Amino acid sequence: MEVHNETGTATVGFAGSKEQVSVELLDSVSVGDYVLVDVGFAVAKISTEEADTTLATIAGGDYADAEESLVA
Amino acid sequence: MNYGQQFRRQDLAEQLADRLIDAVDPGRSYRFMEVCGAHTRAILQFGIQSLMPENVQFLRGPGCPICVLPLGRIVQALELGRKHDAIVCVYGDAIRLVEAKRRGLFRSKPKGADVRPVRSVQEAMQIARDNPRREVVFFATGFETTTAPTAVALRRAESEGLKNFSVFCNHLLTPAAIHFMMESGAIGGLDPRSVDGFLGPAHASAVIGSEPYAFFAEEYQRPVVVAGFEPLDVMQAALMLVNQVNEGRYEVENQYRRAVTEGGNSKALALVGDVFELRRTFEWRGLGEVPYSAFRIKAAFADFDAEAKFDIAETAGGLAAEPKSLQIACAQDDGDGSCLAFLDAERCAYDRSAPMGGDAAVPWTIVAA
Repeated sequence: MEVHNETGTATVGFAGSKEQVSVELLDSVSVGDYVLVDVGFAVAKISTEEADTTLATIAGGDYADAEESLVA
Repeated sequence: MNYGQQFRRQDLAEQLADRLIDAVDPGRSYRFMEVCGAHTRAILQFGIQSLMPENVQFLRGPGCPICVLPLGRIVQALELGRKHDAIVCVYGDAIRLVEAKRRGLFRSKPKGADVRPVRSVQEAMQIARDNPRREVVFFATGFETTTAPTAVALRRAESEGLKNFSVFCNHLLTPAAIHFMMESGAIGGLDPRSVDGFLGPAHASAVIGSEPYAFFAEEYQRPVVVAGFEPLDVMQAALMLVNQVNEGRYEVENQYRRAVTEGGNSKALALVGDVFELRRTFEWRGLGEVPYSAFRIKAAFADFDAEAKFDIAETAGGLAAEPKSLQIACAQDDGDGSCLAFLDAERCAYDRSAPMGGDAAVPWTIVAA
């Protein structure tokens, strides 16, 4: 993600494509953040820590093992 | 990491399916209603129902923000375009419905309305800047997620003095509709009170938080699990609902913790509070008048409120009398229907005119898969 503070926008990437979105609904964003985008606005930041915890809970154990099974 | 892919992993979906089979009580059924059309789409697109134990059933909720909009509001927007030579800007998911109505209304007229699809309200504002001699009206639709962007646009229009831009506000509130469904009992044959639990919306909850569902869960003693839109999200949320039902709990739980907090997006909520206020009542297609279920623009922004600027009635009653049932026109042949959950360009995902209720396992028949 690339942030353009003067316009309140950021360039975000998703599935190989790039799009300029408004980040005016968020307090602050930095390059590398994951954001939830709807109708051209980032409406929430995605917590990678929470995402990993959720995946670990779904995997029913240590998430590192789950990642290995993806590669395998 | 590509989180999108991670939350679609087949190996983990199979694990969750096994855990669901272990968790359910074979002596009872579980009926869970998804409130948001985007969950409906995920359930249909990824075949999630087929991964559920036989006694776990997903039920369709009140509808997406487009298919619950009374046709009268669309007629009002189109009339506005015709009478005032306005450019009417519409989100892509609403364009099929608006276009169908426009063709129907203006078939015999030499001049119809200039309707243009936009992906964001910023695009509508740019059209206004590029066409200073034309009125540009943004047909604002959607639940809480799209309300905040419209608030940003109204504030910006005011600061820029973009006088030829206005918003025709049709923003709706999710919790009010669920509350109404529970209060009003049987709708179109389905008694919402026979629902064992609710899947709370993902994106709308990212804005309003999980807290607004607490009163509902307590009042109706039904569990609510706020869930993401990916297949593993929906499956895990189903497991969480099954566990709550088994344990006799009715709490608000948050499966979508990576994006949703208890209090939501405080900056977005403050902006919405600055710009919008609740309507006393608003008509939902399929539900009828639902108290305090929609926003209107505050008087401070009247210069940019299409209702005030062009003297449009708040209620569209009489323009399009429709039955108060969930037999919404999603799959009608005349093209009046539209739904976020549709799976192909031609047909809506499910036919709500199918009979519902009783012991029917599937309330609405899938017509496209």
